[in-house]
Amino acid sequence: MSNLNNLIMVVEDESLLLEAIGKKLQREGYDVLLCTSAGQAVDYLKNMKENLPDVIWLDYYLTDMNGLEFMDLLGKNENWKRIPVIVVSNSASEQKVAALMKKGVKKHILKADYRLDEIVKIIESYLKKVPVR
Amino acid sequence: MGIRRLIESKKNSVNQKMLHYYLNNCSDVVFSTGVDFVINYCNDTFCALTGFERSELIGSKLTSILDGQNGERLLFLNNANGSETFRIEISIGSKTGSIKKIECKTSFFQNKLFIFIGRDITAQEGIIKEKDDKIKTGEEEKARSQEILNSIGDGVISLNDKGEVIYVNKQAIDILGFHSEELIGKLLWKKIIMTDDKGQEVQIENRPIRMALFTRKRIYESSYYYKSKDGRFIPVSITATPLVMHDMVVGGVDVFRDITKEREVDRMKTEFISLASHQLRTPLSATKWFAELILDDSKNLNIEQLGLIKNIYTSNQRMIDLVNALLNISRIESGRIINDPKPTDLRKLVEEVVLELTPKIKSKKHNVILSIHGDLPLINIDPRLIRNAYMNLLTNSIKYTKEGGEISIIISKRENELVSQVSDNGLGIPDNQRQRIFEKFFRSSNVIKVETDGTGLGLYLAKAIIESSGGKIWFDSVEYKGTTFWFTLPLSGSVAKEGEVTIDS
Repeated sequence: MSNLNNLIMVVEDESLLLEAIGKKLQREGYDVLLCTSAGQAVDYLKNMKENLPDVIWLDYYLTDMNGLEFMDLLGKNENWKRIPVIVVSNSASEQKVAALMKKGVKKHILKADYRLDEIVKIIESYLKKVPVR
Repeated sequence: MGIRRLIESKKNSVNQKMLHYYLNNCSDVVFSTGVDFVINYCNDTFCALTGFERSELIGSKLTSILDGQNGERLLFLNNANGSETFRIEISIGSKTGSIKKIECKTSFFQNKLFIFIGRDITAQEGIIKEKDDKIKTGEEEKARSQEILNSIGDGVISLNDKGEVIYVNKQAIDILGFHSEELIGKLLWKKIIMTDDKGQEVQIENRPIRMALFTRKRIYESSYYYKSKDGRFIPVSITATPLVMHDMVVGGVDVFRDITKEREVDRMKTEFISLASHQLRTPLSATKWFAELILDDSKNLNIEQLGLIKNIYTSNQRMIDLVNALLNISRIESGRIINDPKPTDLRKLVEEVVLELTPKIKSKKHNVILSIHGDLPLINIDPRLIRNAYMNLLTNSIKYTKEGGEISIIISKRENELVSQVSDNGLGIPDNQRQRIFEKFFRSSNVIKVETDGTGLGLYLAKAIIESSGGKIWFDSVEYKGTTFWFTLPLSGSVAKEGEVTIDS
């Protein structure tokens, strides 16, 4: 089931949501890296050097910064910049989504409107290699 | 000695006859008395006024026919010097008992004769009294109105036909900060600046009171601001009314209310709903996803457990729908929603909606018929909003029609609008509830029995959307036979509206 080449980083400060997402992604055969804050995510990225995540699942409102600020941080590193980011958030004003897209976010999703398997399908569409199940 | 003798002493004189004739036919009363106030002459007018015969009057004391105590008024005449003229008012009790008032000019003639020449002012007295009463009631009325105008919470400015301020009440002064003297006589639209919500000064011809004077119609406006003397911009709700008398505009009244607090409360309400709803989404997402994880792995569950988890999932989903609908309503009601019209192919839009609803349609084995005008032009509407309207109408049709129902969507073109029709052969709307069908949170009694799931917000939203897009929505329904909704969209398109939020976000 496991496919070492596909690593999903999930940044979500709500631990219950993080747990649900992690379980789902693992069941679908991904390696997951769960982070409860942006700071934690950045620390991971710094230490990873080579084997960077294939997709980042990002919550917008985090305890230490918001999604836009996180995108700015990613933008400073040439390698990080290339990682597709999907924002899954509780609200989506026109301006906010436009600003996120401008900073390179691939897709914006409203949390409660999607089932996990629907979000997984969206993530898969941004992966170079779809895991073999 | 009396006037008669004065006259008769020059007998046969034509002038005397003329004088005699004149005295008896003029409207003035003329009579004379001696210093003892015994009447020695009176003309016909006096006789007619008092109702007495001349013979009854001549030789009797004037005081005997005076009403009440006013004989005392004559006493000062005793001190009169020759050739002095007095103006006195006497009341005479006439033979019939009525009181006659006479205003007299009295002269003391040759130290032996008082000559009275006077006018009957009885009727006039009445008129004056009536006038006095009228003035009094008028003044009372005015005082009362002033008190009312100063006690009410609304600012009132009254203008003449030129637009000059002629009255300002206390509230208007309190709200605007100008003294009444600073405003009276000034043109309202020059003295008090009015701006729109972007801070742009409102053109004079668009000022509500100007429009009221010009169009002779009452104008309501609540999106403008008055600039107070100290430079604050106060949001006001204005009612401008023209004063029309005899088909002429004689002025106008500008009644306004400071709506700062209302705006603030409204904003807080909207913010609260929005914030609360967004906060609700986190636990709702968690429930949804955990239930999904259990259902994914359902092989370990028995049928009862599976059913229970499904119930949790469905109830939670209902809560999510409710939160979404509430958010949409708070957006529409707050006026913050964006209406961003784009040239839209309604056919494509409807087909997408149907495609999205296909799982639900299939699960109820409905037959959906699409009939769309072959040459449908692109229409300038906000696709997200209109999509939501179709979605609400179709979801209702799917939900409230028994399995195997027939749902049809027809889009036709009229002269200057596109008409969409969504029909079903479902439960229908009971006659006695037709009035309430577009009300917020209203669900008709027959659908509640069949389908517990529903927010009562769908049609309210659909109506709000269609109307804010420049269209109309209506329906026809027969209970247990089916329902048809129609809505129009103007071919000229919707008017763009800037805002902060979009629907469903």
